[in-house]
Amino acid sequence: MQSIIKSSSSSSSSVTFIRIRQFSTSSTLFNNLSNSNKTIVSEEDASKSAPLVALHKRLNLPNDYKLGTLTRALTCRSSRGNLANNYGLNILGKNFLSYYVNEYLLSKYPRLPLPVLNTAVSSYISTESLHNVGKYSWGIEIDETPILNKILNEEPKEYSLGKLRFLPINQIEETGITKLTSKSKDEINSSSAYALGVRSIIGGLYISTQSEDLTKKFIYDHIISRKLDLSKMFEFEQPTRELSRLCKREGLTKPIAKLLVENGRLSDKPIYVVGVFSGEEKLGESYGSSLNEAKIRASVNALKNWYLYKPLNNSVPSDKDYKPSIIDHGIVIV
Amino acid sequence: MFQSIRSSIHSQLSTIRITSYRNIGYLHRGERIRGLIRDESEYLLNPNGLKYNLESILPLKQYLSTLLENKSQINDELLLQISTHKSFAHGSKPFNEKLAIYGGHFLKYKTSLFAIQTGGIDSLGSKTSKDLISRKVLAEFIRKNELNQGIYWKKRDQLLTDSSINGEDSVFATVLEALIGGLLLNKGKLITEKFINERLLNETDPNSLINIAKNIK
Repeated sequence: MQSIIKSSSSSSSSVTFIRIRQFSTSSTLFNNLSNSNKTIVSEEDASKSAPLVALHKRLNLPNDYKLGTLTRALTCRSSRGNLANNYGLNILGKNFLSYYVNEYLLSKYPRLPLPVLNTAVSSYISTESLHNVGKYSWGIEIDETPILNKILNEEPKEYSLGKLRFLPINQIEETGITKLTSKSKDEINSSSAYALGVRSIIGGLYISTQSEDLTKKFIYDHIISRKLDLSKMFEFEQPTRELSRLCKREGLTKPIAKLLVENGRLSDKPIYVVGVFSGEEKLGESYGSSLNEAKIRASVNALKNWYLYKPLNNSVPSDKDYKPSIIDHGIVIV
Repeated sequence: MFQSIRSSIHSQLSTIRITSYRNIGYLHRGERIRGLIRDESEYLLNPNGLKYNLESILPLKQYLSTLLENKSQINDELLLQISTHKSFAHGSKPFNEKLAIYGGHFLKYKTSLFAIQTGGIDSLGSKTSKDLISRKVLAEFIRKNELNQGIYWKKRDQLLTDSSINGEDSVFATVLEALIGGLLLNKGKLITEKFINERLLNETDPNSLINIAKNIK
């Protein structure tokens, strides 16, 4: 206890780092890279950083999740200093995210066309979305105070451990100064840095707990819980043709558009309601101010009904009580 | 008002019903004649000249039967879909595109966990761990395990023989990924993990991804 008080009272004393090898066991298959000679922050030092401890509590991370690992998740490869960075954690977190988000969407909407699936996946886990999660939902701060100010403010060195550290793109232009060096490839903008941080925190959760289920739950709680309207992501070029190809492929009777209701045919604001039928079955219905428009809208409605089909059982393959549902034959190619 | 019009139209629709079906069809064989629909069985062939039918998936079925042991087997239609690439028959037959995307993500995910177990977190992103699931290695896995005969796809250019250019590697890799995706969706996570651990990431098996990646350079 005394030692903690000592080091925090003398702000200039250097942070003590211990070299931990827990992440890099010897191996014949993989040759270790960059991080092998970097240092991992000790728990004692990390616990002195108020933002770090607060973030740990705010995300409700388990006790196995060491503060040192959380610091590592917030340290991007481009940041200065000799701290272990989040390069590996980021890759791990990305793999976790892309698998679970794809699995969730494919189980919920088995017939989703690939372009829509890709758009949906990226609206959950693109750089921009993760930036929003990190900045506005989790409230991670960027370490942007200049070193000189830190010294003048007598800010303890450990304080910044809880903030996101990276090399930002230098956009400040001053008159009379011409920048001759080109942009360094390590420079990243803040949204990429936030995305790296969020992915790494997820990767760190698996590393700390070794539990796929806990990590999956964390992803469901923080990423997949966000609302997304898929029906607005569709764009059809030739909906009527696509619908008739679909009916042919699935062995249904050729689709026929039938006028159900009309009003004001001779006025300047007519309205028609058209339904698309395959034999006796109604596939879709919609309205329009011309017969053609109503027919196209009805075909789009029918196609959306097909592609956005949701099975009743909502389990995913990684669940213990998974029950297989339909497997889609692929999109219709016109 | 709408309701009354709707009901009157419905009653008219149900009284007047014109149905026309063409019951006789002619499927043409032999030389192509404009306007005649060709017999599918004559032109739906894969680059090996194999016809599109359920017989061609027997090697794949046998390969899986030892894995699934006494559990129920995967149905034939799904296996045929797994072996069919989007390029075949202009996408008119069920194809493996989405299964492959899904299986590919699972393979990547499991390989990264495998890499951490053997080499620590820092081994992620290294060349060795990337090579393990490169297109070339996945395609070689299909060839080594003799599953390459019954794969349906269309070659971009018949004259190209280099497998990394003519699309063969890419198509074969897709089939392996689709196999993982199909197993996942049909049999769940446990069996798929068993498949990956026993066949793909097994250091003692000479035909596993690990040993193939070591030899391909």
